Amino acid sequence: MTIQLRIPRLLCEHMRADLVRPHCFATERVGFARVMTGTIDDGSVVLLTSYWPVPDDLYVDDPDVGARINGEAIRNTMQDILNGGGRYGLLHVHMHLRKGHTGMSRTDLTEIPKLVQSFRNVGVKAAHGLLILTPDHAFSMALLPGMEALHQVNKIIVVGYPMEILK
Amino acid sequence: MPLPTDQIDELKLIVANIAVCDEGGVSFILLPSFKLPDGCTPRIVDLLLCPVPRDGYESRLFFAERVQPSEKLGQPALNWNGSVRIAERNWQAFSWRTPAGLRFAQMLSIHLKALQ
Amino acid sequence: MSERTSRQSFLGPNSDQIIQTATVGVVGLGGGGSHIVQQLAHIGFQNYVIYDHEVIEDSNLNRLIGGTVVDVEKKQQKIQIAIRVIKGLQLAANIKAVPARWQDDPLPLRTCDIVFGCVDGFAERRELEITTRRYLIPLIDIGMDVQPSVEGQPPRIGGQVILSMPGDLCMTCLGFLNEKTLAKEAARYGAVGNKPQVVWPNGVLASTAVGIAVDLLTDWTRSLRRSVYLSYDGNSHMMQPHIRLQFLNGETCTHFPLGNVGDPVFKAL
Repeated sequence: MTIQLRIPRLLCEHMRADLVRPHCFATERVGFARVMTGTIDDGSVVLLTSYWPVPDDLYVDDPDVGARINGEAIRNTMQDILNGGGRYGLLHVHMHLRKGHTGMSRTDLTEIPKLVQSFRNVGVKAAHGLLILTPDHAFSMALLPGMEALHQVNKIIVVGYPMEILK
Repeated sequence: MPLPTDQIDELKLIVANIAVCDEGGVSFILLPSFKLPDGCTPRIVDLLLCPVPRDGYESRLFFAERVQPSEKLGQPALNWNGSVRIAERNWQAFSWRTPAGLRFAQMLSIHLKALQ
Repeated sequence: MSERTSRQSFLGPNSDQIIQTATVGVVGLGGGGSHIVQQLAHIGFQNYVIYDHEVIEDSNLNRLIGGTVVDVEKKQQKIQIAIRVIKGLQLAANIKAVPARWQDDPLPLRTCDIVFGCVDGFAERRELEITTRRYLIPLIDIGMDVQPSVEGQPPRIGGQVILSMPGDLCMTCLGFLNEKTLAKEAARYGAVGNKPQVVWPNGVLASTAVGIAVDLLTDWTRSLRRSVYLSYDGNSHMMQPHIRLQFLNGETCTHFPLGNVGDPVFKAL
């Protein structure tokens, strides 16, 4: 089973720029990307179509984690999925600042899969997941319709001038 | 561009569960499992209506597969063009002209006349 | 960097890895596509998705790279010729070869990072572009034609190389695809005939297309930042940006909005 993620370059750069903006107390930022899916040979492709950041006032001041978003922010994600009527799903997006390959931190592993499952509960026909960007790389996991658990995305392609293939 | 609701409502009187897909700047109207005129083989087929000018035609009706109408004496065979790909499916169409300025239901009716 | 690719080290320190990782699609393995697969193999591409449903004929031998007299005698599939060319240079190449129209087996095409369109006709180009836009895949289209002699003037060879990048101007925005040319082509259906074709314009167009693809992937020129629409004049032997680009600065594509990608969704009315 192959899963690819394709991100338009302008969106990728926008997300990276947004996620490094300073916040008054959070050391990381969070955003959400809408994704649609396609069937490919032996798998699926997840296509990132837009991004919205969590507004500054919807973070919770928690010194134990890089970023924690409040209940209203989470309700906004659910509402976004419902508004889409199943046409798109959401990826939780944040950034690790060190260059190179990355993966899920302990906090990421604890918190994000639960949120993705909540996305699945309101949008069962769409793909949901997470995307972690670094300045020059990315890591993603996807929960596709019909899947029981998050699967790592095999290939991430930034589509634009220039292209980037991140495996 | 949104499709005119009055014309959609008219079309729904003919086929209840129509749907729309936008592709390449065109809105295509799907009429699923449409029952074709008597004598057609197959009798039930998905249809796709392109209600705007395309490839020199004022409108086009695409079929999920080639259809054989009932044979009538003197009636020329339908001139089926090659397969066309729309909304990630392959469709068939025959050459049949409709006038400009028709409503969706009229377009459908005139295209289907070719099968009668 | 290996000895084989040492002469292309100017493409960048990671260029080998980038090229080896990319999956390239080539739709059509005739006069244009056969040049492309040969060059891709020379450069070091390892992952291919190739489509062609035809067999080689004698009239193809004036331009089909890799095709031989024996292939014609054996009625060899063009796709097998392409496989032979690729494997002759890249033993470990991973080739998904589809001896069919891509429309009849589209799933492999959607795995590509870049697709080269080497097809005949405007309608074919439209269909290929729609699919590559749906799945956010850059499409590089090439084509040539020969306009017959008029009033004693020599025939004219023309051609194009177009990069259709998702999010940027499409072939309709660029004016290459339009209702007039599509209508004219549809009216000719059934009277297509054999279009004049020769090897060297195909070579020019294919080489340019491959150069664009390598630039897109390696960014070695650090200057490819917008749509490409190159117009080839085979009589003056010149390739230059199409004049229409001058009038499209700042324009955005409205034909393929980002919210309309992926497997098609029919919305109930």
